[in-house]
Amino acid sequence: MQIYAIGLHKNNITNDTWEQAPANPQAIKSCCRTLSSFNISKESLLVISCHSIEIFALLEGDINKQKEILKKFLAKMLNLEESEQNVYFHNLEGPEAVRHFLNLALGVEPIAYESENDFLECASKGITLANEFGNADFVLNRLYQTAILLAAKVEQSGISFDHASIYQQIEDLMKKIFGSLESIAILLVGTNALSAPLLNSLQSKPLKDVFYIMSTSEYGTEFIALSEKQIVPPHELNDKLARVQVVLRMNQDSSEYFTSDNLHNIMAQRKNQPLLIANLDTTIIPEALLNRIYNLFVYDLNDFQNFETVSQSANKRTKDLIENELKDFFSWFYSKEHYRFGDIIGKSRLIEGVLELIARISQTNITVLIQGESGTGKELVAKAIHENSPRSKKPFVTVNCGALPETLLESELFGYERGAFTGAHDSKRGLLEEADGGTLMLDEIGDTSPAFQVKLLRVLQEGEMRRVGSTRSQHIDVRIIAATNKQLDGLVAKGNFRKDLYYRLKVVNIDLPALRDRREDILLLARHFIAHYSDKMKKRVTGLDNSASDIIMQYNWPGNVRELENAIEHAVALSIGHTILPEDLPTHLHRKEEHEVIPENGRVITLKEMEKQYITKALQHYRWDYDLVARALEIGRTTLWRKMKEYEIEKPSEH
Amino acid sequence: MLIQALNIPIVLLYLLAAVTYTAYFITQKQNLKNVPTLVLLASICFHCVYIIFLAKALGRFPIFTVFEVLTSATFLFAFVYLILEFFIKDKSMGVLIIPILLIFQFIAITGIDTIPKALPPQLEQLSRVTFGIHIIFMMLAYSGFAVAFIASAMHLLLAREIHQKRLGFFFSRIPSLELLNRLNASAASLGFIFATAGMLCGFLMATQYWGNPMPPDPKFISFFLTWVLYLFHLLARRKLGWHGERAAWLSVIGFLWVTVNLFVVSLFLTKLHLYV
Repeated sequence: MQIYAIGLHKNNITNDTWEQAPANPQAIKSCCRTLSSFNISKESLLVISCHSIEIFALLEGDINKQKEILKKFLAKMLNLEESEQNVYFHNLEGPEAVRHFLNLALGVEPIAYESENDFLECASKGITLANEFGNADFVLNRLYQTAILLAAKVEQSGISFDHASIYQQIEDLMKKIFGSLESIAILLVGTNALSAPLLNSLQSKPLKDVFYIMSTSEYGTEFIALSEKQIVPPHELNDKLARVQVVLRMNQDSSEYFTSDNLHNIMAQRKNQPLLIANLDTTIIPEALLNRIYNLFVYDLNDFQNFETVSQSANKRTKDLIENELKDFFSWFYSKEHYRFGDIIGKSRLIEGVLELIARISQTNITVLIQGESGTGKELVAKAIHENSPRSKKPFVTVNCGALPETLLESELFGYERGAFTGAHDSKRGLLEEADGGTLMLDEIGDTSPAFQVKLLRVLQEGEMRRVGSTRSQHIDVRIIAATNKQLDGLVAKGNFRKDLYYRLKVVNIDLPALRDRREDILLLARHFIAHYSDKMKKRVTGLDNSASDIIMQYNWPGNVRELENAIEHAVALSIGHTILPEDLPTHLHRKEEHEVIPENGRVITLKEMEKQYITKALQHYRWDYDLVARALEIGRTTLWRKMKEYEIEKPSEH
Repeated sequence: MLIQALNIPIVLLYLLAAVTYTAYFITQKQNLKNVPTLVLLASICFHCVYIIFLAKALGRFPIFTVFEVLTSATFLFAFVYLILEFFIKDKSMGVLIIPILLIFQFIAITGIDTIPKALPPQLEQLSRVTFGIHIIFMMLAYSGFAVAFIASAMHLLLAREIHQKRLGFFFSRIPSLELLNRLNASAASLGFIFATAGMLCGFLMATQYWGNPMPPDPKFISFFLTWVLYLFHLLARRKLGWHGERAAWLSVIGFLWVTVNLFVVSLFLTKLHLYV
């Protein structure tokens, strides 16, 4: 099994082809169907960003043959003709492909130039799309999460890329030449991808003036903030050149003004007051003679990127970060242990949101409150936060507050001094001290007493604790993650939980969805548990048969993932063949549907009401694809429409 | 006695100032920011006490021999620099200026005589007031030229880095070209004004005692050339638009000429200007 990437960059194909290809959702949809019907890759993810189109796929078996198929698929998606076969597709395999993915995600590659977040957005869109039409499973999902985490790390470490660092360099240069920014008037000539962010940066600075030279056709939304006076028609360029201090050339427009003859005159007009010209586009070819003009400083884009001061160290640090993530990813990928206890599995939007949140907050020291029904994996989340945080080398300690009586909990947590109470023959370090520098997870926080809550609040607020029986406070550095399966706000309202502690804990709140709210993950999870337990029990179970998967999809799962895991363990133990049959599953899973139609003590609903509910469910099941729903219900499309109108069923607006 | 006792500590203090200024320039450690200035301030205070005692011992201002002028000039220059640092809020110039002070003061203490000797006969004839004003104006002029020179030298170093597009050591340590250029302009102008005034005093004395404003002395001629050079500097700025690097080169050349004028002409050629 190998990760493989095939892609096309914008500069490899003609503009026309580029524009029609990704803009046509119908084409993408049909292409994605084709891709899944090829049935060649285990997982595939189509990513369309502004500068490239990429397919990341997990391949098995004859890789070369599959590469060809993927290539054809991409060509078909872009409507490339046979004659255009000289288009260059790049093929990357294994670590190279993953590095490419991460590079794109961070905007390190020149093709993802506009903004670091662009790609992530595209990748997230791509994943949604792939979920709908293709099949991006946990390997690629994990890659996506790695990318998010990496982006968060980069943001934390203060490494900045492209326009921000280039602008910073220009600003340093301006300050060194002209002193303060207040005395500087800047003239921008033309537009390119850098213009909008650059203009943003400029507008927040105390510059004397910013002028913009452009033809009206270029007038884009980013220039709305400019006043009339700031937009200068191209024929007044010479006039402005004699007055401003800095010229930023964004493209090769008006290059006739930037000849050495003209600039000689300009410099004479401005009495040799220094002028800085920065060429911020690779297409600009500055005249070599310009460098010899007295008091004229000419800089090119290359000069900025080569600044050893900023970019090199940042590049090196990013590279290191990427290499580390790459190593981690592959050690996980090749370990063949795709199900690990420390991992959270899921591809539903809800769980994706949770994972994204974990990735974003793990770099901070913020207190987190995890709420969710029992069995939803609260400890996994806490562990994931810890392992992705800078504290990962330090201990991760879990305390179940519900399992211990109050006094015992207190001495466990805070430790005690010798003679603090009967039986305390020696002083003992508490779990808080054990977790110093690391993370402490307080499970079942809702079960604690108010007295204990006060002590906990002190730890959270002051970072200080006192052993039982001690008079001395000591400083501790612990990140607290609290978890509960109760509704804390309800407890607060009843007065059983301190309000101040509640708000202190709830700095970030992670709500773990119940399994029944993310049914699309059930089969995914089941598959992993099957693989795990069949391996453990030395069996050869590979999957579920259709009716068994129907049963687990229908079941309500009050015990959530833990119940599912137990059910699968049970089924794997009982199964005798390669697939799990309905009778292998625990019996209580079979008792279902009957209750739903006529509730035990509820009223019998009307046929109409029932039809409405059923149609709504069918629509949800097929993601509002009316063709599929009509076919499944064996009614005409128009009938479906009529009934939807009659029952006032409306498609919910996009999430 | 006290004067001799102060000789070594003052030199050591200037040495310490030079070291701290250099250390701050290289490391740019913000917690060391005020140390160099405080050391320099201490040096100046000691130096002030020294000059007061010296003047008391001599019964006159210590500006009548080469060495006396050197130590007074050092004191004045250190004072001018301290004020300058206060206004531009930048310490990088100290790196070049303090070592000059150190050398001047070192040379001065080797030759200063604390027992008042008879002055050379020409000096005895001169009005002490006019002479004193002449010397002080000239010292101020030289201070101005020196500041202009140092600002220009830094300007050229920084401009070189910017032109070569390898922004590194000096880029992060030297103030902006704009500031250096302004500093060069104002220091050169002030120096020129003091030089003009000092020269007028000189003419006055010469006319009084020799009946000729310009006796045939190499010092007169060489200093007149200096004056013309700085006059050109001022005019070139206004009329020719010479800013930045060209003006900086003028200041550098001007100051090199001043140095030649000071040491070669004064020590070996002139008969009238036995002092500096």
